[in-house]
Amino acid sequence: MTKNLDDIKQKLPSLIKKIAEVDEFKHLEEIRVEYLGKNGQITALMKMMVTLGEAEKKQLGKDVNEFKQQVTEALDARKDFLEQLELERRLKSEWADLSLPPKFYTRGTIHPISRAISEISEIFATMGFAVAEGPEIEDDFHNFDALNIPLNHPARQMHDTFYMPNSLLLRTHTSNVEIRHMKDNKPPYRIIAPGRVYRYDFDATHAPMFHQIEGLCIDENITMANLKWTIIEFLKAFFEKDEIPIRFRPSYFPFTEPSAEVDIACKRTKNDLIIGEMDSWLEVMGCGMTHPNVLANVEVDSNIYQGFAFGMGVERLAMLKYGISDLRDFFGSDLRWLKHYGSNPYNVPSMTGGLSE
Amino acid sequence: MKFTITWLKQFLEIDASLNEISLALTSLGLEVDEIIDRSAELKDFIVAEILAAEPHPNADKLRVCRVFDGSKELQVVCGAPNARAGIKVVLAPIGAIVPANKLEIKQSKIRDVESQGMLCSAVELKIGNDSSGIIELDANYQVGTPFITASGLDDPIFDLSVTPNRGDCLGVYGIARELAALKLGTLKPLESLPVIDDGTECPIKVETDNNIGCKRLLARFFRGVDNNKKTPDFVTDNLQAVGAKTISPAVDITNWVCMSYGRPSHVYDADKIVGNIKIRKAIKDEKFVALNETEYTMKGGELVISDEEGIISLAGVIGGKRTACDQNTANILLEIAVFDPGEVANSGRYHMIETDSRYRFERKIDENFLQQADFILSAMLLKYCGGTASKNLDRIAQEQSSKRIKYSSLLFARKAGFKLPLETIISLLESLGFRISAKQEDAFEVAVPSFRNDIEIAEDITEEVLRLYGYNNIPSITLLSEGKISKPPIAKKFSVAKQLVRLLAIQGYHELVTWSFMKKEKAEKFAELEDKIAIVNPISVELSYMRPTIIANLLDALKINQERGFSNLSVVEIGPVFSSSHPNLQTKVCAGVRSGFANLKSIHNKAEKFNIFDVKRDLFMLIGECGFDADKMNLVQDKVTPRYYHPSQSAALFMGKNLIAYFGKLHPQILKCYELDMDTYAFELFLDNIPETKSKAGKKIATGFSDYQSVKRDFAFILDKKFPAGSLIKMIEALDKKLIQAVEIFDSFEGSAVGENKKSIALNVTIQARDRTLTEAEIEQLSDRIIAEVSHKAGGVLRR
Repeated sequence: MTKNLDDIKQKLPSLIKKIAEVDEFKHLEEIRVEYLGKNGQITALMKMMVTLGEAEKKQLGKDVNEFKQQVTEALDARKDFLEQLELERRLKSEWADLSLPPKFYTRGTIHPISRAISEISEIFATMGFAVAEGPEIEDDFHNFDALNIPLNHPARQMHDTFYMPNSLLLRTHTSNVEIRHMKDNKPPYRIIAPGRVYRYDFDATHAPMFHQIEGLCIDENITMANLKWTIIEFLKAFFEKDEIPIRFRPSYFPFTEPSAEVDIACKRTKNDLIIGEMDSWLEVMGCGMTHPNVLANVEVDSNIYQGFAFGMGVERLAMLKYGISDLRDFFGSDLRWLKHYGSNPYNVPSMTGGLSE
Repeated sequence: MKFTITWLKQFLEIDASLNEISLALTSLGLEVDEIIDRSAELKDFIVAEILAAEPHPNADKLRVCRVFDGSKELQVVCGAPNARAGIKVVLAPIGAIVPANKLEIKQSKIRDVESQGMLCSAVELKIGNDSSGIIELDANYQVGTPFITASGLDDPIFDLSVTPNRGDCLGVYGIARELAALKLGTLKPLESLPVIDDGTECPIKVETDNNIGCKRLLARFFRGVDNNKKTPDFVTDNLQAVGAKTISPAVDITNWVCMSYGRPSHVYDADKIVGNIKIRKAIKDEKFVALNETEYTMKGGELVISDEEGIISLAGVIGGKRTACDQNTANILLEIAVFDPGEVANSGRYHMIETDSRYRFERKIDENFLQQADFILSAMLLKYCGGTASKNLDRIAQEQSSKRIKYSSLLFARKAGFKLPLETIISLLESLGFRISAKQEDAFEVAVPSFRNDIEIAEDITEEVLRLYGYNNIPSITLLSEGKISKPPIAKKFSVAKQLVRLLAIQGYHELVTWSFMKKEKAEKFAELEDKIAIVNPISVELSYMRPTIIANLLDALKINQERGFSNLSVVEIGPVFSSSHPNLQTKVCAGVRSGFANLKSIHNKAEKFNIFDVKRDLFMLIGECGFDADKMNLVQDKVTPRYYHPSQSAALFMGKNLIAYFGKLHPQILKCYELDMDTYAFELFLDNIPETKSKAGKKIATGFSDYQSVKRDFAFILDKKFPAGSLIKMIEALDKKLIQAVEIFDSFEGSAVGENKKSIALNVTIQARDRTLTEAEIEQLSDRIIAEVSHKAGGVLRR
């Protein structure tokens, strides 16, 4: 009995060493079975213990347990080690060629006209302008008469209108939305009206359909000086320049008095147009103080209320900002052009997160 | 409006540079389109004389000319038929660059004959349209002088865009008056000597039916004129510089006065007038041959001048051929009238005649500038055509009284947003010709000069003050302190539309913007044609009809890109479509198409074409974004979609009676029209028909998540092939809304295994209670109810 124990005790260092050198799981298992298995040497010793006296049993028990524990630990440690080795081997064999192309991923684009309208709306939103929309097939009243453009007025020829049956027409500007907004609501007003407009004109720089954003701001004390601030701040925000030389010059629109046209400085280089650098002037929008006749036509008292209106061509602003050279391309549906000039749908313009892409 | 600096200087003492004048005009609201200064381009060209012209030895059509350039003789080969000895010509010496083609003249041999320059045509110098031969200069040109100075082409030309309210600036004098107001020069006094007449009355009388259409008419008879004389040089130079034709002295003088003072007038050959003249309305179908050699048939009602034989002038628009002045004209009747702008506009527009006269009448002339115009015109006619003048005949010789407007410095400050001293306002107005009276504290009355027809109300006066003060001197004052911002700044409908496009773009769609109008023949492939949405005056047949659907244009886009080799494509557009069935003839639609392959064959996956469920997913996602559950809408499959959809693979969605959307496969015949090879799927979402959801200001309903165990059960049913299996979901969910959390269809197949005209649908049902763990018995019971319901309502047989 004691001999067996001594044998085992003696064996321990070489057994631990042996375990540490095992390099296959099955050998580890063999050792475990030899010592700790059902018929293993340790198990046999444990079984024998029942025949021993109390004191002897206690001593032997302690020794056997110690032996058992050391062997178990050695076995576990070696097992972990082998597992790690095995994992490393497997991972090494799992080498993949990552130079191959990634999985297919499609993303479409936002049209630059849409993008420009979103950007412009964002800027005006910070100044308190809401967006309003209205019909594109319009009547004379909302497109012309209410805007102080009577039938024989030369300005009606300036517009070169498309006519529809039953005395209707395709709106020549989105000012009709302003008229409708004023008729349906009480002042004060602060809106912008983006949308399609139509004019009888088709050449390299004119399309029979294009987009406009008109704006209207009417309250008790809105002045020409406020108009100037609004336009200047808008242009600076849109073109993302702290300083842009901007020129206001007198002009004529039947629906505003006084009226102005707005030019910004630009510089033409061989292939490019740089906004904000003084070389020549480029017209970007028209504006003015809303004509009292217009207010009267929508039953707003011009002795109490006054304010301004402005209008700009979206394509023109988009061309200037994004560097698009040909107006006709906007409507060409060319995938290559859309991918180049279209914007990323995840990039939403905002005044806090950044207006431009 | 074009004029030269020399022309301007006839009315204005001015030393300012071109640039200063240009800036001043701009700040006054007279937009400078262009300053044409040809001195640089034409500086090298010289007046020369052909001494001899011999036939070219080697070419029939060429001549070899000996040309004297003022200092030496040159040999120049010339192909012009009019090249001959003795004429004065324009020589392009070696080194000169020809304006028309930018080619440099080099010493060369033309068919073996030396040529030391080129003789120029008007086209080559870009000074005219005559390319039939070389320019023949007048004999009085000095040989050897630069052509540019000799010809007067060194006089820079201003081209202004005058806004339609500023009729007063349609004359050079008016421009001079504006510049003088800005103190950029001093206005010269006008001709003020009365006409010295021969004491006779005007022998031709003027009658009117009534005064409507002609406020005033002044006529004068000139006897014994010589219209074969030479038009004075300054008139010719001025007119030619702005591209106007010169005809005869009398006509040139009226044209010059028209352009100088914005005052149209007309000269008739008095001997060709039969009897007296009458101002009247034209009779329907009356004929009139105008100076432009065209015969016009009156629609009736046009304001005309006629003699006893018929119309001799379309009032204010154009004179007649029958009474035109020519070289032989000996007696002239001069007409200076105030015609109604509307009358002139109507007849000009109807007959499509554009003339300088019409242009000015339409934009309103100075009604008090009649006597003065008579002085100027009569003096010039007498001086340059000779003869004597009768007394004038002035119908209604009455000056219009000037308009008066009440104004104050307060009114100015209220509109402008800043204050100007009263004296400044008054002095600015006075320099523009306004007269100030009835001054009381800060208020006063403004008398408007007769040439300013555009000034009517106080706001007009404000503009005048600001215009002269300088728009660029207006301060910029923030708007943010004015009024309040109460509403959400971006309208919900507008932001939703933007969001829809964004979502689709994330799913691979490219957003397009296409024309709202299309060809009729294209439109009728998609919808019944309706007169109500056909444009009355289309710009071309290609764009003559308002689009009944966006799909037509999206297919164009597919075709264009397929031709370029891109046939796998998804495109979307949000915009209007038109039909009389929509309120106001229009409605807003979000339309998309997908065509070709969703995934191309790759190392990762097999090629996969788009199918109808791609667009159904896109559409349902959009509806969800609009705040509604598309699954709860009514899906109708047969005979509800327009003709361009596949009849049995398309459907419409309704909310009550409101059509919300169409989606489906497109009809193969439509695709064939577009020569599209790939199956194409489309959806159209009618945005205006979707009710606007009320903003909940961000608030969401409370959650009701259950922490008890959930159970999933699979079922497979055999159904009729045409039974809408999608409806099983709602049907089963309705059985027990508390316990049935989700119903999903995970398989659908047809084939011999399930029988003819049958299909098998496999479902997965999630069952969970909020307050307990369900017992097996409860689950079994619910399963049985599901099976019974599907059997009862759908005729479904459970597959065991």
